[in-house]
Amino acid sequence: MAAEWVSTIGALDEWPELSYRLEVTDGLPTFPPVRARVDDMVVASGRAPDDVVGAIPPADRVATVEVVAANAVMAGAQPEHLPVVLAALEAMLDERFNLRGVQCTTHGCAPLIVVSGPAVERLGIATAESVFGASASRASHAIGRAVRLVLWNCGGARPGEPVKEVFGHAGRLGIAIGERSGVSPWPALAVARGVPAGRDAVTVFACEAPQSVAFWGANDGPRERLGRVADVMCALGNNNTHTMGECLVAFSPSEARHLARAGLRREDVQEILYELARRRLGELRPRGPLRPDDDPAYFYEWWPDWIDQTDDDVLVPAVWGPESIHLVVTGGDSIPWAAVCPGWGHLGGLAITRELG
Amino acid sequence: MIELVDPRGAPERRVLHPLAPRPDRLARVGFLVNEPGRVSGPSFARYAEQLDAWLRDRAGVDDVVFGFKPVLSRRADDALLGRYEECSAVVNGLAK
Repeated sequence: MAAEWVSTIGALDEWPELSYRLEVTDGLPTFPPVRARVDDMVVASGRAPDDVVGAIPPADRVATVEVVAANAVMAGAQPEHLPVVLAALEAMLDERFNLRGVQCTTHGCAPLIVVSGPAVERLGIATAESVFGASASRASHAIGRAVRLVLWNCGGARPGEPVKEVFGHAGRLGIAIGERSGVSPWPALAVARGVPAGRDAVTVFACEAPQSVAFWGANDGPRERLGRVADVMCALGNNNTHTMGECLVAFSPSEARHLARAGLRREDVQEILYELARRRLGELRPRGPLRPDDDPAYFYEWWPDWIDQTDDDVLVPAVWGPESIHLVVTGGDSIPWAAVCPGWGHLGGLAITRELG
Repeated sequence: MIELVDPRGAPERRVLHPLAPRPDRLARVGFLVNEPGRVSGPSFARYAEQLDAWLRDRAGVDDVVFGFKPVLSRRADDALLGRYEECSAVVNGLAK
């Protein structure tokens, strides 16, 4: 049971120990949510402090703009970061994201925040080396941590009860990345998802940690190279491989340029990956107690009707369709590389994009 | 003194939603099982059979409604939830 809230302290150095006693941090150190700093952040947002962002599941405590700002101050965010934090949280409260499930599931999907548009450069969001982790970007870490602390403090996302995540990954501590629009040959993710070019937007997607795709031994042919990405997309242990859903694929700028030079648009890459990232039904669901015969009672009801579940050789795609493969160009602009972030499958955590107000 | 802002927000029920009215008696009780099938279904089904009998014999319940969500991590669809509209109370859970 957390201690009763303490509304004043005599000195700032009381905060670190107090924050752990109050259980308002998930384990990492925080800054104190000092009233003056929180008020400055709220004022800069142009929103009223009691504007309700939403009830954050599973604890369903209400995040107002002031409460979100308090968590953002704790995360070390600057006032200009708050609109991204608010947009990310509002996106996560979309029913398709299934935040209650993302918070509590046994699966290791964590909310990934992708920032697009001029805000990436303006705020200094991570886009280069170590983009998914220790990027040294204050904005990326502060925005990711601010969202995480809201999920912790308002959502009550405590490991064990109610969070059942078996392993998890470091991205659960908060992660925000940016798209390298200046070096990408393709329109940004947010633009592909309907946001006008040149506008700031945030996309949230619940996914596993990035799984590296190196191009050892690969020739220049795009299909050969994308085949390696597809192979990771449809790994036998992925939720996607069995339930479809969505997946995020990051390309380093040099690999994206290589594919573009071969004439591939963003849509072409999505089409090819959708075609290649498939597994035989016989591999996915070998005959046995879980599929003893061709009785439809043993079919996966979440697969579309065109998949003949009596045919061991039918190829089952790892995602719902080409548009379910979210391409992002980011990371160090040195050598060709890719990373696959499998989603939660058909259960939720689906990509939601919000334009920043 | 340095004033701090509570980052935890207020409980939703106090701010947005009051508790649902308490029923005078349990005329019809619903059980919504989080997942059917081989993992959870059989054990919950056995438990539910006992609950059904107990509720009717000892708690004066007229009717018990059982249903299964297709997928445990997603909300039940409106058609399934509609089956519980007349229930005095609904228990949602998973037995393993």
